[in-house]
Amino acid sequence: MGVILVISKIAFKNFRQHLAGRVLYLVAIALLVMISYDCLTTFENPIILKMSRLNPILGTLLILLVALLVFSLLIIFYANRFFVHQRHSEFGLLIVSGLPRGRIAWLFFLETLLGEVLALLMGLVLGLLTNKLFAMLLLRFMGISQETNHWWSLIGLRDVSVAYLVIFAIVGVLDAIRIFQLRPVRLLNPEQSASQPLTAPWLARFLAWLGPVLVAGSYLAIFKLNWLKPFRLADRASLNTLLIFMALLLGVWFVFRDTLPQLCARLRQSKWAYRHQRILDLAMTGSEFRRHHQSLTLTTVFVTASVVLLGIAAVSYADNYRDLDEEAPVDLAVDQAYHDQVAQEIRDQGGQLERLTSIQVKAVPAQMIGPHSREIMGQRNMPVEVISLAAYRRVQRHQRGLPPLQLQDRQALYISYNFQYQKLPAQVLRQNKIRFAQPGLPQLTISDYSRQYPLGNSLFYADLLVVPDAFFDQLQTAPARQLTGYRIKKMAPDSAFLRKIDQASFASKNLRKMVYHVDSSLRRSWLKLSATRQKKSANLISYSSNSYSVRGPFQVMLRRFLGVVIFVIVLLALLMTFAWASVFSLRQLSQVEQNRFDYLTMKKLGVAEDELLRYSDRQNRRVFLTPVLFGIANGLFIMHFVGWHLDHLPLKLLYLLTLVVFLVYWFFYLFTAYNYRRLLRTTQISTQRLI
Amino acid sequence: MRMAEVKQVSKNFGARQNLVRALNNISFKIERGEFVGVMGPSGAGKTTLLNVMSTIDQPTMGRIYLAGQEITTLPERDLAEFRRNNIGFIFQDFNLLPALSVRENLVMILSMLRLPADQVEQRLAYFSERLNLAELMSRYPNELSMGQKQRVAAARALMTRPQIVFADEPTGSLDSKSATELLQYLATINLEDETTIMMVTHDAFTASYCNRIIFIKDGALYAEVVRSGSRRQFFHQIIDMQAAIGGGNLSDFKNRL
Ligand SMILES: Nc1ncnc2c1ncn2[C@@H]1O[C@H](COP(=O)(O)OP(=O)(O)O)[C@@H](O)[C@H]1O
Ligand SMILES: [Mg+2]
Repeated sequence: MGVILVISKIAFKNFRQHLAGRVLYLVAIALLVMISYDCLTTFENPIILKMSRLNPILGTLLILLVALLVFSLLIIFYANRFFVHQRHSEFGLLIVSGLPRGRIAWLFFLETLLGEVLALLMGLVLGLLTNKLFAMLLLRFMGISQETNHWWSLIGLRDVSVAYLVIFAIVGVLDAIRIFQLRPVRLLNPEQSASQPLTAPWLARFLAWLGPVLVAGSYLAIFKLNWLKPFRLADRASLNTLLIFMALLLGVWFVFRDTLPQLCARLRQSKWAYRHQRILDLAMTGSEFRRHHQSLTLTTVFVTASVVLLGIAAVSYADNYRDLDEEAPVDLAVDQAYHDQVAQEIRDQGGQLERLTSIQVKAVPAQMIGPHSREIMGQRNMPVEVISLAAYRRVQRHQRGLPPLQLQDRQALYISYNFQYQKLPAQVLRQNKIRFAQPGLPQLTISDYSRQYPLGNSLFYADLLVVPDAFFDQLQTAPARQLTGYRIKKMAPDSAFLRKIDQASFASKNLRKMVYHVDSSLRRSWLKLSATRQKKSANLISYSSNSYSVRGPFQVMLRRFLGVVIFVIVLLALLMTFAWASVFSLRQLSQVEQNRFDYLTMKKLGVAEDELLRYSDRQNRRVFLTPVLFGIANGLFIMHFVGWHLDHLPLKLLYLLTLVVFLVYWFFYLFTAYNYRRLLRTTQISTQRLI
Repeated sequence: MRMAEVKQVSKNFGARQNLVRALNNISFKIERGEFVGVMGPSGAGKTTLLNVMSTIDQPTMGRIYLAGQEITTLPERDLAEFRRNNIGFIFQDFNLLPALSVRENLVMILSMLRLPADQVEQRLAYFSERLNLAELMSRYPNELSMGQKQRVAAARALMTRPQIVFADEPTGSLDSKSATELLQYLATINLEDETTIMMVTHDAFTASYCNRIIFIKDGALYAEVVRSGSRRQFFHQIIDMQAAIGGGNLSDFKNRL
């Protein structure tokens, strides 16, 4: 009993002694706990439960929860690794002086547990406090302006506590294993363990080059890869992606392990280093890089992941919201065949229809010719639907998202929903032409590409052409369709009734179908606008589209889901940034013990104290920010590349979010540098080893 | 000319209950070109005295002059510069920087002094020959034996051609041959360049290379022995004094346990 009391006392003392350097780490854990609790309670929130019947919202939140727990485990595991590292010499002394390892492990466990439990409690309290805010934010992101009062969940508290206590226990066991494996010889003579690598010079040089080559190679490969194709595991493209990322990871690893240290070694032998007194500086930076290449690589990976996650959030935010908004205010678009029926139903339910505009659509067989026609259209010839420039402009007056358009005599605008999947630059796309099956018609040059359909894409089979009015009049097709766009008033966009109409519009009896016979010679191909049931054959392609569509229900659903996804992604990315930065800061601080002696030596050799502190700052900055900048560069590069395939990448938003990531790390750098200075200052000359 | 003067210097560690008086109102002078030994039992305050005199620690009370300059009142920045330009150290525990190769450990100091590159090469060549460092140049400290480290540390201290060299048990971990070589070398630069040397040691043989020995006990001056005759004579004088002070090799050894 007495022993345990003594150990607890020592543990408490140790805990207090190390608290200052670990505050932010504990805060990070508290934040993870907080979000976990917030996340769990949403599972009991009646409003969100009601919402989620149609929505994969809860699934997304579950993913977030699991990600948080896994990440917490990782963070705590890593942090404790550094704590053990920090105490190496102390443990070495204890072991040598005969304290059983079990007791040391126990002491260490208690000491870390104190901090962790403190963080857990803090997190739960914060969770209770922020819970309502979290739910409100979530609802707001989903576009719902409802109040929620649900904040107290006993089950939530219990589950989060249990989950985290289990994590603490797991890490405790891992720490104990590590403590049992410590070798006192190494602990007491840190110099011995910091020996230089014994690789052959040619191998060292090879590895130093391998890093940058791998990184550059994977960058190039990313460029070659056709992104945004649907990812399937069996897919060659996803396998390639995996390989590329492995190569990138390995490259980063070698850059930190070999390239940078050797670069520093090279530099410090130069005249420049001598003249500017950078020899020591470079040497220490180099050995830091080498010694910590693992955590530096991890940091790079985390930052890259954060930036990519944020990028994806930014893309889906801007892209999909725009998608949703660009059709506004066309709430209902309907083919003349269904016009009266649908309009009547809506009026019967008390809705009011305001007619916006009406356009004529013709469908004709056509062929795309040009350098990349296959990649654009998927096949050589196909039916395209055509509208006139005048019709386009009429719709444009209401549907503000449609890009402005000028067409000359023989020009056309090509609208394809699949456009964003093509990786061809606009100049190349513009080299293509359209040839029509109807005799006597001239070819049209495609002057512009767009992915925004007037009145929404669901009413068209596939690709759409906008042609000059005179040309449109020459097209013969029977029967031409008439589409009318309405704004719906006095009816909620996701009202039960509109949802019913929405569902009905996808019922197969209401769909428009077309079977198109593909023939190598365009002249003999035929086109039929009917629900013909032909036997399937290689030459037949069937198309279908809605005959009418309401925008509201899907838009609301999408907005909610997107809201949750973006919320989750941003939260995860920022939390990850914060938590990992705190661990990285711990790693850096665990270094003080080892560098302290060197700083003392330099002081004795006549380096002034403020100079020394500047040294340490500079070194911290390098070690801290190199992987961050590297990671940001990676992330932005990847996102730029992905963005290259979109009509536009919301770069401003991405830059802003990246800046946030950077600032978080910068903040941690300042915190680390401050604490580093503090710890160094306590190193008085006279505290050197006594004999 | 007077190289160093210590005036009523005291140094305390800790406070109240666990106050340690490492130096207790000690005063003495060192002239330019002297080779002074400091001896005394373990814990007598030798290292503390050296630290205080060499500006890397402040005395609690008293004044210290080095090369005509009162160092006890100098601000930290000037002290660093003063240290860099005038003082060479050979530390008890070598204090080589593990991230730097031997060559870089030596060059770094000269870089701080902004010595032109051709002179650096000259000095490197000179010292590597004198202290037998040629094969060690590209090694790292953790690849050196104790004796080798000690030689590197000595070279580093002397590279800057300081006015005064402080050495804390510089032969402590050397075999007798290397120890003799180092001591002979110290004696040579003491004679030829008029470099003042102050050396802490507990070994009478090492001490016999000095001109004068200051014995301290419990932080205070206990006795002083000046060499007058041969080294052998001086050696016996020192042994006698060690016996008198009650802290010879044997008790030093006991104290360490
Ligand atoms: N930083 C310190 N804190 C507390 N006591 C110290 C410190 N440095 C030295 N001492 C004490 O001062 C006395 C003299 O130490 P030191 O000068 O190292 O002796 P030595 O003559 O063996 O070199 C010893 O009792 C030692 O314990
Ligand atoms: Mg000593």
